[in-house]
Amino acid sequence: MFEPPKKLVPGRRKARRRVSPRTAWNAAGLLILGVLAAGMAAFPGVTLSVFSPIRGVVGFVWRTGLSGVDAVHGAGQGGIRMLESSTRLAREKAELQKKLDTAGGEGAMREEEIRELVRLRRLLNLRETISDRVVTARIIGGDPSALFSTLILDRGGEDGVREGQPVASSAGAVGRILSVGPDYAVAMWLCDPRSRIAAYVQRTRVLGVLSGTGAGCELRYLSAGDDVQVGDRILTAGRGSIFPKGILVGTVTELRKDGLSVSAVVAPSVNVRKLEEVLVISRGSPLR
Amino acid sequence: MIFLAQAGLFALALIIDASRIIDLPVFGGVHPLLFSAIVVSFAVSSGAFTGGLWGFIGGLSLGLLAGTPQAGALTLGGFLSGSVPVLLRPLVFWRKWTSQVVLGFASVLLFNITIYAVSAIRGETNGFTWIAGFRMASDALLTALVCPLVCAGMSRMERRH
Repeated sequence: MFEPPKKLVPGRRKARRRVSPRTAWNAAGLLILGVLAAGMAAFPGVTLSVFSPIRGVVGFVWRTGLSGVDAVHGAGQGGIRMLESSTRLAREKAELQKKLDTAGGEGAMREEEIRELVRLRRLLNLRETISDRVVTARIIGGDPSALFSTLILDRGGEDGVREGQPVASSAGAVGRILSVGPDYAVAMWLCDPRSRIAAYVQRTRVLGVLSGTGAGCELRYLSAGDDVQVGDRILTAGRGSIFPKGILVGTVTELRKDGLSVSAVVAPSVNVRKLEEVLVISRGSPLR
Repeated sequence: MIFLAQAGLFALALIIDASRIIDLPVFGGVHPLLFSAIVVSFAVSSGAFTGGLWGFIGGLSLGLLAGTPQAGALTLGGFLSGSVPVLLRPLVFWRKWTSQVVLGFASVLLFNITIYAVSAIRGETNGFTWIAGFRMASDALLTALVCPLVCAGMSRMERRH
C-alpha cells in the first residue's frame, strides 16, 4: 500500500498549531485572574469591602501564626542570650563561672527579665507624661515588602485601638495606626514612604513636614533662611491631630539645599528593628 | 495530601515573611521573600497559571492582613510575580539552577515594582529613593539565592507523592 509522506497529508500543519484545551483553559484563567487583580488594584476600597467577611478569619490565622513565630523567636533569642551570657561570664572569673554554670540559665532569664523591666519602666514614664488614654502593644511582625515599613501589633479593635491613632515608644514617636483587625493592628512607621506628619525644630521652632523615605526621614518644605543645623532635635508639632505636641522624632544629620528649598535629613530616634513594645495613644480619650 | 502539605508550607512561608524574623541588618532590614520562592517553584513545575494563582492568593492574604489600600496592589503584585517571570524561563535555562535564580530575582523585583507603581499612580508615596531601590534589589537577590533550594525541596516533595 502506498502511503503519502506525512508532510504531504493535508491539514496536518493546521492540526499541529491547534492549541490544547488545557493550554486554552490556563490562558483563560490567567486572563481572568489578571483582570481581577488589576481591578482590585484599581478599586482598593471595593476590594476591602468585598473581602471583609473573610478578613476576620484571615486575621485570626495571621495573628495566631505570627504570635507563634514570635514566641518561638523569643525563646530562641532567650537561648542565644543565655549562651552569650554564660560565655561572657566564663571569661571573667573562674569562681563565678562555677556558680554560673549551675545557675546560668536562671541568670540569663533574670537578665532578660531586668531588660524587660527597664523597657516597661521607660514606657510607663512616657505613659505618665501623656494625658490621653494609651494601650500598650507588643510588636509581632512587619511588612514583607521592601518598600513599606509597617509593624504588626498584638492589640486591635477589641482593645480600643483605632485607625489613625499615634504610636510611640520610650525613645520617641514611632508612627500611626494604618488598619485595625479585631485583635491585631498594623502601624505605619514614620519612615514609611507614605508617612507625612507636621514637625518642628526644637531649638528654633521652625516648622516643616516630616516625610518618610523608606529607611529614614526628611524634614521638607523649609526655606533657605530657616535656622536649622546638624544635631538639632525634631519634635512632633501636634498639628493635624495625629501626634500630641513635643514627642521626639529624631535628630538632623544632614542639610540638603535645592534652590530656594531646604530639607533636613533626620535620623529617627527610634530603632524600629529593636523595638518590642509600643504605646498606642488615643487622642481625646481620657486616661485609662 | 500533597496539596495540603504545599498549602501549609506556603502559609508558613507567608507568616515567616510577615514576622520578619530572618531580616539582615542592611538598608534598614532586608530578607528573602520565601512565599515568592515557593510561587516560583509552583510556576516552574506546573506552569504560569498555577504560579499566578498561588501568587494571587499570597498577595491577597498579605493585603487582607494589612487591610490597607495596598491590598489590591499586593494581589496584583503576587499574581504578576507568579505568572510573568516563568515565561522568561526558555531564555535563562542554561542550567536548572540558573533559571531558578533568575526567576526568583525577577519575581520579587516584579512584586515590589508593581506595589510601588500602583502606590505612585495613586499618589501615596513621598517619591522614590535609592535606599528603597537597594532594599528591593537586596530582597530580590536574597530570594534568588534561596530559590533553587526551595524548588529542589518542593520537587522532592512532589516526587515522593
